[in-house]
Parts: sequence; structure tokens; C-alpha cells
Amino acid sequence: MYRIEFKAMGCQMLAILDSTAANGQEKLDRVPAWFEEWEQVLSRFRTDSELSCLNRSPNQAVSVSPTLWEVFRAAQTAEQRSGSLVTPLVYTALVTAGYDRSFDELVENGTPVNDHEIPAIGVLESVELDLAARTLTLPAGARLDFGGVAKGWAANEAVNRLKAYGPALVDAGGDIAVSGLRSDGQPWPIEIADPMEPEGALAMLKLGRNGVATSGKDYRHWMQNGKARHHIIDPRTSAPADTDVLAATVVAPSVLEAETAAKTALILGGDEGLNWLEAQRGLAGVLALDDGEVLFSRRMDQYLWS
Amino acid sequence: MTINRPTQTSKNRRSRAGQVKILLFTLAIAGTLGLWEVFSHQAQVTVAAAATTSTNVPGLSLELPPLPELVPFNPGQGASQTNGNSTSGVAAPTAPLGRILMGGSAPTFSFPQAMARTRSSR
Repeated sequence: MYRIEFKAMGCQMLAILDSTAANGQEKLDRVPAWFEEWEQVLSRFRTDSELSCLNRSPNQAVSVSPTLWEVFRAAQTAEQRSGSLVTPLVYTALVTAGYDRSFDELVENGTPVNDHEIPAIGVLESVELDLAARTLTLPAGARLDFGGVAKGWAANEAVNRLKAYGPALVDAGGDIAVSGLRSDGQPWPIEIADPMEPEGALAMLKLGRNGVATSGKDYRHWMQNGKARHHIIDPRTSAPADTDVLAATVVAPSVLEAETAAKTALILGGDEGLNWLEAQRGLAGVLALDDGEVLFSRRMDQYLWS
Repeated sequence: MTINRPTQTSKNRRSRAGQVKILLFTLAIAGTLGLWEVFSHQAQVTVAAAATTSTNVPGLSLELPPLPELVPFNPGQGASQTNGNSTSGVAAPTAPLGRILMGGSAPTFSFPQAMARTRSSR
């Protein structure tokens, strides 16, 4: 069993390869370079990233790399499955809410006061795609921030590359993809962190072929003009979601679906979020509420280690 | 020799009957004393309880907390409830899942060590 931990995309990353091959560690050592490459394409905080270039070029058909193209398509799917609650068009709303730099810088230097009017958030249909030429054309005023979708995509892509060398797990800042059962036929034991107690756990999961992701307002939050802000934008209000869910964890057939569903449930709130999860086939979730209450969806039983 | 046997048997029977009477008498005395002890002790406990709950005893400045009230146990409260679709509104069966308490020692978990941890992005 080999493992590597590193920092990328503003988060702590972990990759595990369940192999006894002598070159196992060598294979894992490639993973940070993959993430660096993807971050250079997808980061909104790097002014020279491909995404930043695209965001600076409205009303122009911009040819994009396969990575940006794939992540954009994943974001389209996320928007459709979430009823437009998860969209990369939240960029301007995030900046308006004060999240205009990496979170580490935000904590260090504080948040700028911003009294700008909150812009309405559109839908991805407003972005023109040319499938043959692989170009994107952003309408004026639209900018993209892939956020959790980028991390979910990266975790999925990394695990797909690693699985040729043995069962693999990749954790991209809490978005976790597994390639299948471990080499001993057992599932991967994965803790759900307790948002109330950083070292505590809400439950232990057993994951085989699924993905799991957590979306929360418990960590990335700040004050702006005396108001509490966090990084999950509700596109219906263009502001940080007014929700009683502190953190939502979802198990899904893939980590990208899990990431989308966790954010959707968090935005919807405890009662509505749980009902929505129950109505989605293949999803199971845990919602930790502000008041300490924890809600388990019915299908969660099959993933809890007991 | 054969004539004396009945006489000896009759004496033995009388002797045994006497022993039984003594035994019964002794048991009766012992039972009476035992019950007396039990009931007299209960009465003392009752008197003592009355004394401790009373705060109006002249010359007694001792103030004691009120005795706790017993609340009937409702099995529907404080336990997991499901509405068929979810466990909405129910406190989580969280970390204690799989917990085994062994002789007062630190709690241990029956599941293996976590290999990863999902949490909000950080």
C-alpha cells in the first residue's frame, strides 16, 4: 500500500495505491504533477490560467484544451442534475461576496468591503459551444468558476489513471474517488468528518465502486461588512446560500455526481435537501445541520460500516 | 425382650413429638423476631425519609435538594424514529456506530482505521 499527500487547488490532496509492486510509489509520485497541470488550466486565482484567459475573452469563440472542455461538459451535467443550483456562473457572485482571491490569502489579508449590487446568475445555455472546433463563447459579463466540479473531475481522472496499477483512492480536498474494491476484496473505510468537531467523525463509510463528496460552509467562511459569508452561492439569490445545513455528504456512483448532489442538498436546506436526496436513485447522504442535528437518508444504511 | 419393644417404641414416639414441638416453637419465636426486625427497620427508614424531606422542622437549618421525580419512560422518545423515507429530525446514530465498551476501558470501534476522510473542501 502506497500513499502520497500534497497540496493543490487550495486543498489537501491524498492518493493511495493498493499495490505491492516495487514501482508503486513511483506511480503515485506522478499525481502531484497531474494536479498542477490541471490547476494551471482550471484555476480562477491564477491570472495566467486557461480559465482566466477564457474569462477575459467574452463574445469570442475561444479554443480550449481537452481538460477545460471536459470540465465544462461536467459542469453542464451538474447544472442539469441540480436544477441549475450548481453552476460555474457563480464567479461574479463569489467575488461580490468577498471571495476574490485564494482562501489562504483571504484568511491572511481579510475581505474587501463590497457594496456592489449582486448580479443575477444566468445559465450555461448562454455559453455557445462548437463541438467540432471545441470552442466556447462566453456572453458578456459571464465568468466561470468550476469550484468543486473541478476537484471532483480531478479526483475521478486521477483514479482512472492510477487504477491500471492496482486499486486506487484519490481524495481531492474531501471529494473522494475509488477505483473499486481493495486488493483484499474489502471496501475502503472512509470517515465523514464532523463539522462541529474537526477531529471527530459522524460515521464510517465503506466504499467500493462509488464516490463520496462533502460540501459545507463550516470552513470556507468569512465576514464582509459585518455579515457572515461562505463560498456556496445560491444562484437563485446570487448570494451565499441561506441554509440550515452546515455540511452535506453524499455517496453517489461517481465522485462528480456526489459533489453535485452534496452542494445541491446543502443549498436546498435540511428538510428539502433530504427529500431531494431520497428522490434521487443511486444517492445516499448525511446532512449535518447548524443546530447539531444530523439527518441520514434511507439509503445511507448500505454504506455505513457497522 | 419381645414385650419391651412396644414400650420402647412408644417412648421414642413421645420423645420425637416433644422434639417437634420444641422445633416449631423455636421457629415461631425466630419468625416473629425476624418479622419484627424487618418491619421496625422499615418504619425507621420512613421516619428518616420524612425527616430529610421536611424543611419545617423547628431548629433544623439543614436544607436538602428536592427528591428527583420519576418520569415514565416513553420508548418513542430519544430513540431513532423513521417516517418510512428518512430519519428526518432524528439525532444521528453517529460515531457510536460499532462502538464496543469493554469493562470501562476507553471505547473502541469495530470498524477499521479510516483510510481517507471526506469533509468540506480544505
